[in-house]
Amino acid sequence: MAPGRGRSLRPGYVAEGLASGERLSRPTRWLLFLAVAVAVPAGAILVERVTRPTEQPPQSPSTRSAPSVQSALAPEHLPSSLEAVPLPALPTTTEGLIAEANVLADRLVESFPGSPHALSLAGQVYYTFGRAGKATELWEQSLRVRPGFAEALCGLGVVAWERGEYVRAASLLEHGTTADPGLLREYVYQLADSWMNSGQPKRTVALLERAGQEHGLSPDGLFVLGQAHLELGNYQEAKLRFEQALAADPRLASAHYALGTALVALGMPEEAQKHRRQYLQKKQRDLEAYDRRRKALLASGRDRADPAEVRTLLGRFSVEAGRICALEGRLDQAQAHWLKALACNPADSFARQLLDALRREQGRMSHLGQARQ
Amino acid sequence: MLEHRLQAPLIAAICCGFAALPAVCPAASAPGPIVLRDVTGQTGITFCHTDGSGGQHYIVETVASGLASFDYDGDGLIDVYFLNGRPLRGTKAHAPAKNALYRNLGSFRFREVTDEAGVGDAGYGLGVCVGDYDNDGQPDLYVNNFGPNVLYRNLGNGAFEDVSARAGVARGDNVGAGANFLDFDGDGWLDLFVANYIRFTYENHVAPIVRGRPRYASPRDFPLQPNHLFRNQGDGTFAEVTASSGIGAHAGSGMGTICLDYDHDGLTDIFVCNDKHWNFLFRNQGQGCFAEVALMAGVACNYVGELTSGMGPDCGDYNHDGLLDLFMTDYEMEKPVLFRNLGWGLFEDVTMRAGVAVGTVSYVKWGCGLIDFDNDGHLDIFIGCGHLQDDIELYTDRASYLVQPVLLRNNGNGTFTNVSGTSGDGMQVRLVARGVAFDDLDNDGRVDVVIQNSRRPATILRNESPDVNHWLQVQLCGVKTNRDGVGAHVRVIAGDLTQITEVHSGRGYQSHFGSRLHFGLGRHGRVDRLEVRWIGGGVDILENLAADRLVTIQEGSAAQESCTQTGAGIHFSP
Repeated sequence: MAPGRGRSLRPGYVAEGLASGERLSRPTRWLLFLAVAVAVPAGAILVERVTRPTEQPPQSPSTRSAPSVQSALAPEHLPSSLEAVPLPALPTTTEGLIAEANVLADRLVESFPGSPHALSLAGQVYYTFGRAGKATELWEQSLRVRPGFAEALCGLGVVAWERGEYVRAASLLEHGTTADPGLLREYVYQLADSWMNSGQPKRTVALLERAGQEHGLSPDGLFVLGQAHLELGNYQEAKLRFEQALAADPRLASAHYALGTALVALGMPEEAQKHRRQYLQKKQRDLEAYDRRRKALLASGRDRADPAEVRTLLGRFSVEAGRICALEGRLDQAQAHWLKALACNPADSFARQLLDALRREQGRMSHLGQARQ
Repeated sequence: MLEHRLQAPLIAAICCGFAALPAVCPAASAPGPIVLRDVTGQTGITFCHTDGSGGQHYIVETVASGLASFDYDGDGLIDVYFLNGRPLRGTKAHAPAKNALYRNLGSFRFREVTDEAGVGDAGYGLGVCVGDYDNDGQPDLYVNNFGPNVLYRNLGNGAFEDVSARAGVARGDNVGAGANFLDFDGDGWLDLFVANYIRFTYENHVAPIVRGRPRYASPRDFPLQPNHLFRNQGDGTFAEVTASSGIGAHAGSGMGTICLDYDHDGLTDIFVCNDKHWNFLFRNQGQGCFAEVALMAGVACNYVGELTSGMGPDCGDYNHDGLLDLFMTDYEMEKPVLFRNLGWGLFEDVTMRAGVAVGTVSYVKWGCGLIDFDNDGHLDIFIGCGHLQDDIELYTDRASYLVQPVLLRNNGNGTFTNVSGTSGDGMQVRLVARGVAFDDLDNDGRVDVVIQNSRRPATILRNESPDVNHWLQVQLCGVKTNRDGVGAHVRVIAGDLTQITEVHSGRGYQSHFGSRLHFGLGRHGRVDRLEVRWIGGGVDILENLAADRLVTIQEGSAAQESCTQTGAGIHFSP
């Protein structure tokens, strides 16, 4: 993704947004792929059962308009097994929700000091809410427990990338995404950018060309590939990629600008000027929309750190925390986390499915136990 | 689960990676080729900046202030002028705040002479430039304020006179930014470009709430403002030509500015960093007209078309291709931008290729300079950093209010290496930098650094790089052209080393420095050829000059060796 738009995929963007007052965006999807079938058999079976119905990340529309989480959970919408279960109360302020997230992370670390998944997830929570130092400690600890643990490598890679330590970032991200290729889609921008900033755009080209052949590239992926070709002086190839990006997403103002750069290099200044003008029009439109939102927010007097955004993130983290607990056989803790996820977002179907499966599994185990007796 | 055969190299990689934590480059052990030492305590400079803040979070607090280094009294020693804020509305004033002038006594000692010089303006100082606008041989000062601006005419006896009203350049009640003297029409008189930041008033002040606390607003929360251009009428007065020149047609959020002849047509152009808006490149078309060409020239934004928070620009030929390139600082999580001049009026963003984002991207970056600190003949980059949200650490430990400066050493092949960690204790000081000035304060042939810190005392770094390379300093004296030689283009050829530069008034973050040109010559002990192209086309050529000295060149005559550097200090010949 182009840097400005790629911000939404960076872990820790929330903290930056909270610090700067910018609007927050959806959390990194890698959290939702944290399904590893290892550990206590009951937990493993549970995870297998709960992930079988769907592998799609949950849809989580903002709950900003829901004045009360509890009241939104009408009994008829809950699985029958959950009707009697009260949902936990949540803080209503941003600070309170962040504190809640930090407690979640603290407890993960306390409960599972030997679990690289738990440590890594806790690190992600800390990093998201502005505690990069603590996150780094946990990712390092995670790697001591399990050298080569992919999520930890990638987490540390992002820290390095944000600090401009591109050589180190590239190394960590490359090792992490090699260990778990599923993470590549989440970190491809940081990896590509790290290579380009450390004199290795060829590697960016190789990576993205391969990804393009295997999976196809998004408009932003095509844009980054074009940028890498520009860095190498492959202007014709760069031009092609920018044109492909625009064909896939005509709104991509950056691609117009970059295409102008390639056209200048190819000795086509008039064509370049056309694209620079189109860039200007589209960018102006984007900025006007952005300014209108800012103005409305200022006029409303609302806090720029929207509790609804933080609640969404807390919900996602709770889902993942529950899965780790389930894997470790701590089913009561898993239930608590998934109930919290529902409290954060009553429409979280994934959390509902997990809870429902848990209940069915608990009922089956109970039945088996009775049968043995 | 990772296969065992992959684990060993991974562990090694991880350990190597950890060994590099947390610095980009190794912790300081053996110093590198550039050494900057913090000598603030021994200088006698006790200036402490105020931004006039009192908890209201006025945006203007964040952009204060620049500074100027120049020889105000003609004694051959570079003096320093610090701009200061003043209490803003709602702030209780404990003591009057004013700008301060420090006279260089030699040997890195300074004495404050503000009152006797009469330059203690009590306005809200933001930007400054220096230039001999009346061609009387004395450098004058222009201060760009939040509020009316001030033109100080140098009387030549150690004192200045406020001639703002008479000159017609006070300009009203805007939020100022950078300023530059330039001779845009080549008539031999220095004209004046005055940049403005956004349109801020106490009435349109906003402070958004983030996590229950007020924060500084974004520049996009305020209306944009055009800049001003004043033509010197040669009689001590200026005429405003903002509208007729075309400058006034473009409203922006100006910060640092620099004037340069980027397209080598003999006419001085103007580059303006805009904060979260497209930068401006005003191309001088002659006849007093300018066209704004930044977008087509490739300097309006960064390589992906993002509008960065442009702070301070500097220019220099970093790659020895005979063209002036541009470097620009910006905000945190934005890469500083290096625009390589391609010729034909075009630039290319080579930030990634040059490696100038390494170890810089996470900081808020302000004053900067393309300076040859080790005299190897290649321009290095110094960046003063520091956040603007003074409570940033309450929200995140990924940013810090006080930050160390950054030093990028030119590798001589179009790339830079971050050497901040191996360049002396001066690079370890944690600051809230704004304007930065670069000049040889002790006349030892090595360029030193003066940093204006927001709300804090200034910092002075002495260049103690190993004295193994040669250098040459050049002072121009115009006769038909403006007295300072502002806008003159200088080329120095020493063996296989060819360097070019221009004389600028106003550069970096709203500051002024470098009226005395400095060239590092590497191992070359002599300059084969020195060419000066004056505004208007006149050319002076000198050949076979000894290195390690300051040479004063008067327009139209042979070089006058006005001073000779010896081991004991500076000697002036009459």
